[in-house]
Amino acid sequence: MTWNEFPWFAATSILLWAAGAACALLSKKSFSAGAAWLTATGLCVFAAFIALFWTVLQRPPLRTMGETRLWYSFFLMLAGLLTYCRWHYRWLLSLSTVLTLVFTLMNILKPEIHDQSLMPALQSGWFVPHVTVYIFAYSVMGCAFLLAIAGWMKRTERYRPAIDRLTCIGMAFLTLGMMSGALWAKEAWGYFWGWDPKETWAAATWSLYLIYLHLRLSGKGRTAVLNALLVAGFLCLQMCWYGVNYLPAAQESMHVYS
Amino acid sequence: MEMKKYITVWSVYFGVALLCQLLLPAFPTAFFAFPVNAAGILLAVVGLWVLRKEKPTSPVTRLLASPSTTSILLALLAASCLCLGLTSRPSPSSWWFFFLLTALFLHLLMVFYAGAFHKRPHRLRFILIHGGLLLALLGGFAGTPDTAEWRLPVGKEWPTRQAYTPQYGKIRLPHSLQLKDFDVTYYANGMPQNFQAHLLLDSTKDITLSVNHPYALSPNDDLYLVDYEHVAEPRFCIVQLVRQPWKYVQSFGIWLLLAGCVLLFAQGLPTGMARKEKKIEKGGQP
Repeated sequence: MTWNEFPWFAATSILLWAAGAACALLSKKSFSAGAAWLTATGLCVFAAFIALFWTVLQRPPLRTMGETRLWYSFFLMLAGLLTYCRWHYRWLLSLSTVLTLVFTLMNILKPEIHDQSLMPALQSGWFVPHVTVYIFAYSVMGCAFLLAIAGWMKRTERYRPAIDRLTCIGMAFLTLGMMSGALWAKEAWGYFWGWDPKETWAAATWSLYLIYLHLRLSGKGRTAVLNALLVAGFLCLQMCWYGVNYLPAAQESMHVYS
Repeated sequence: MEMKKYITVWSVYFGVALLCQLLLPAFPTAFFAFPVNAAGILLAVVGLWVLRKEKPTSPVTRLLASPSTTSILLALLAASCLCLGLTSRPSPSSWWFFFLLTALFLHLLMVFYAGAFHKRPHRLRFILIHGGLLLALLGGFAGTPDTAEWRLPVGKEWPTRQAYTPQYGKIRLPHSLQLKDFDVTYYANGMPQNFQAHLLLDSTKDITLSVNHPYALSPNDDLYLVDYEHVAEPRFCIVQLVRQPWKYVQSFGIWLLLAGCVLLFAQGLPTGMARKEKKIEKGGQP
């Protein structure tokens, strides 16, 4: 199993997800079991590629940007499916599929170099939990962002319960990722927190989502402010994930591995 | 109304921070080394406790415990991080960050007092998250003046005690280090797969250093392997000595915060938000 086989697995998954999204949109009921099953099958195909790729690489596929996009696509669809099963937003699967398609196409059209090497700094027990927890948080926040945009465009507060729940889960995982990273940083570099560019962007993202949660708790946030926070948080999150690599500050970053 | 009033108060506070940043020389980090930092923390912990007990409705108590203060301080933290993130040379050791982190610490402490010692839903989670954050922040912020790092080039020829600060100042360490052997293996593409240094500590004790596996020289000091001579048989390596006496406070805080986040995921929304959610699902306003 190599990167060359990815388009076949990706195309099968995308077709299944698109069929699931269509089922959800066209179904007369608020929840379509067929849509859920099609999406779940697509997830299984995608997961099979990740598992086989992991086995062949002989290391977790989490090092390069392309590999993290692989996990992001997987978790985004998973978060979308779970949200659909819980709140029955029939359009959500379509949005998740489109966003996943974008990330999958990026991987097909611009794959980073994939090799089996894993530099010594990444050979740690913290590597897999830190990265997967973070990518899962990114995906959940991605879903919250989609709902915020939908609520903004439709001028409704109907999606607020789902957004709150997703942000709460995302925040728990974001903090787990950040704190596991701090413990790992102490082991690897001697400091829990070093204001490295990636850490700084992570702190900015974390603060924005924390403001959202506290405004919701105190009940003082206006809808526009709440949605703006979710959008700003999502943009910061993208900066933290890959945008930071394009800044001059990235030259001094300890988080450059590829 | 309350928000506007508090924005004014915090604007004055951060106006002073900005003036200090612009007019005063660099922040005197060394001045706050132990015992000044410990005395400051003790003063804050006792002072805020007394303030909350004796004057629970005073303007300062209400300002420090207010949810509006949470939003204002977090917004300032986010904005400061964005400024740091966009510049190529971040400098968190500044007057601005001193004022910001002091305000965050005092606010978090007051919120912790308000929430931890009263019956409330998910009290354990509240204590773990806010207490953990408080300790992690405290260990990092107050511990910085007591933190130091030195680097030593350690060779095979003779033992060395000479270490260098990041500003290239020389110091003589109480311990000596000598490189006995250095193992390095490579992937086929030339990337190092693994490397480790076998060292002789004080000419008597054998120790091994590798990436992600520091050696505890003392309860406060740890040795890290940071670099080596990139040739087939390296003759020297670079060892970093980090002194961080507050690491226990910070580490304990981080573990509490991790436990709190597991509970946040397992227990779901904070009670206030869950109530609002039910209201929206019934068709009401948030």
